[in-house]
Amino acid sequence: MNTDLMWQKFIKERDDLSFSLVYNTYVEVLYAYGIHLGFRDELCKDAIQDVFYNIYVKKSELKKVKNPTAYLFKSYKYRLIDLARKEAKIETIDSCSDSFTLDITILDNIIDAEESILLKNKVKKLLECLSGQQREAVYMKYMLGLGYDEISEILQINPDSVRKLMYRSMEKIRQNIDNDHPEWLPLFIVLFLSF
Amino acid sequence: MATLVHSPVPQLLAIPTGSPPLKNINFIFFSFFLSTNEKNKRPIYKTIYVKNDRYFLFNEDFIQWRLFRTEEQNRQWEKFRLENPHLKEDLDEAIRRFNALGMNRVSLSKDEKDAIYSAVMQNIRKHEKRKHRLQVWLTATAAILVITILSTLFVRLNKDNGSAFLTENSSIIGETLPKEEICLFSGGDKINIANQSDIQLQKNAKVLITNNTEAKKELVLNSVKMNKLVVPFGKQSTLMLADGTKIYINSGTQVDFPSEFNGKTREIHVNGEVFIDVAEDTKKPFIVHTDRMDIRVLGTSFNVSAYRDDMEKTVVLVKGKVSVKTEQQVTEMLPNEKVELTNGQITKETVDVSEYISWTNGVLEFYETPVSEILKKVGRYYNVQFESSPDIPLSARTCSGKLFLSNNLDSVMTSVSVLSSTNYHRENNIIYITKK
Repeated sequence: MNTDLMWQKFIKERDDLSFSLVYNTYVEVLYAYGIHLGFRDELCKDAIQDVFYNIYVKKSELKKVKNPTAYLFKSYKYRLIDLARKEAKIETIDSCSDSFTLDITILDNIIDAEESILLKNKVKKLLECLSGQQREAVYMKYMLGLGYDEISEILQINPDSVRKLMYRSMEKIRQNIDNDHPEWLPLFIVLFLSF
Repeated sequence: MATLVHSPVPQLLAIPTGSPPLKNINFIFFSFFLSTNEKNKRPIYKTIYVKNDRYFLFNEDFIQWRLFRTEEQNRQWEKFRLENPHLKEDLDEAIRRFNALGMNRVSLSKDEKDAIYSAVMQNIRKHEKRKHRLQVWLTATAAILVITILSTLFVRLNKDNGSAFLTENSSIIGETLPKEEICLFSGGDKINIANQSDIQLQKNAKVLITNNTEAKKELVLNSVKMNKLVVPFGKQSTLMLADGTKIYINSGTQVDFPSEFNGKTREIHVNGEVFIDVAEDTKKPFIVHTDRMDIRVLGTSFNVSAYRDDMEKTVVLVKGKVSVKTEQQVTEMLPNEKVELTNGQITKETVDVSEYISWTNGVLEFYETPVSEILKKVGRYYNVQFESSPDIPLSARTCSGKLFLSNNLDSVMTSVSVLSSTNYHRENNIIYITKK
């Protein structure tokens, strides 16, 4: 379902049906995001409640919103941090991004079981070396399909920094691979084979 | 940057799982060896036969491309696709399979989803109800202005006549919040302070507390640690700091301040709403810390509203110059400007400051203010909530005017109910307005 269209419908018609569609599209991803930022179940649910309440009540302000996904994730993250602050468990945005975790899952029926495990482990291993914030950016890009500008809003860093963050992530992964396949190894084999 | 994206032809393609001829392997490794001498340290392979999509699916370059999809990668792989038409199908199949990979998929049960949804809807219905409530209340705002004056006059006249009638005007404010007092915490001590008191810090950590009913009180505060003044909902207070800075503290606010400013800066912490008239001292900048932003000043007066519960936090500058610093940015303000912080985003606009600081004079001033905002402020001041039945007819959504924050909410409510032909009754902190 085209989330943008659905969002537009919600802004225009402002009825409960379109609202519930928006809700159902986002509730699980938002919840998962909060959990992987390290917030507990209850807090995530409370924050989701507040965010959806707010978008319903403040419909007129939403016309300016360009990307609903980015908007919802941003508001949600802020709400989470606000709620956590009340419990005095967290100080800054960084401190929750630091603990961002990534779980890799593979949908059934598309890949067979053995392949699925292989791929899962491979991707997991590649992303292992990244920092929490780097993982978060990868998640936003891959899972949410957000652009650098939108990611920058959620991570509260400028778009150029997101670009750098991404490149550094790739560099890190690259180095990690190189460590696994040392460059002198083929040389030995070549020498061995030529004898 | 060029070294970051490599030739998309996978490195592991060199060793297909079958068993390619030994010579072939020799050749491949040899070419590897040669290419590592080049500037670009990574090996580059050109044409190697690939039998199925597995080579792509488990290849690091392919995975990185699918994960990051930078423009550069897109270009490289597009090029690869064009150059290797015989691999196109395998590549597409690998992409399709890779798409099955998800991150952080968590499922909520239908019950859980429904529970959150119905909680949201419940809050929304409450909000809509409150809107009705607001509108009733608004038709009464203009009246309250007059009525509060009338009722106080009435009481006065009666007093002048020596009549005992209405001399005991019961105050709802006192009843709604009997236990919560204004508290001053200083190094382990807790001092209760009457409502509307003036708290004045003097030299050597001494403090003078004045209010209209009691005699003056003098105390000595802890001179090392920060003091904390907690003003609950329904109460207000003023605080004069050691340097002569005056702070008007609105309801539901907490201020942390030192007994004396001994360092290079003067710093206080605020959670709630204050109006600050900073004593000028160019050598010691005055810094107000709040939840989400810091305000740095050099002799000026301004209003800060930074309740943790409010999603918007505002600073309004009356005179002088201040800079507002959030986690992301710093912005300078000029008089009559308002800075609003919502979701980390700062917006600045020119405003009529009186609307924002009128509360310091016991008046709430509104100019086309959304009713929800008005009710929030009034509710905070009196520590009450309003509820109305939805069958009461609606009127405008915004409201302008002045509202005197009288001490006697009961007389106000009686008059309101007569004028708007409604009834009201109270249950704890909630006032219900119903049709007659």
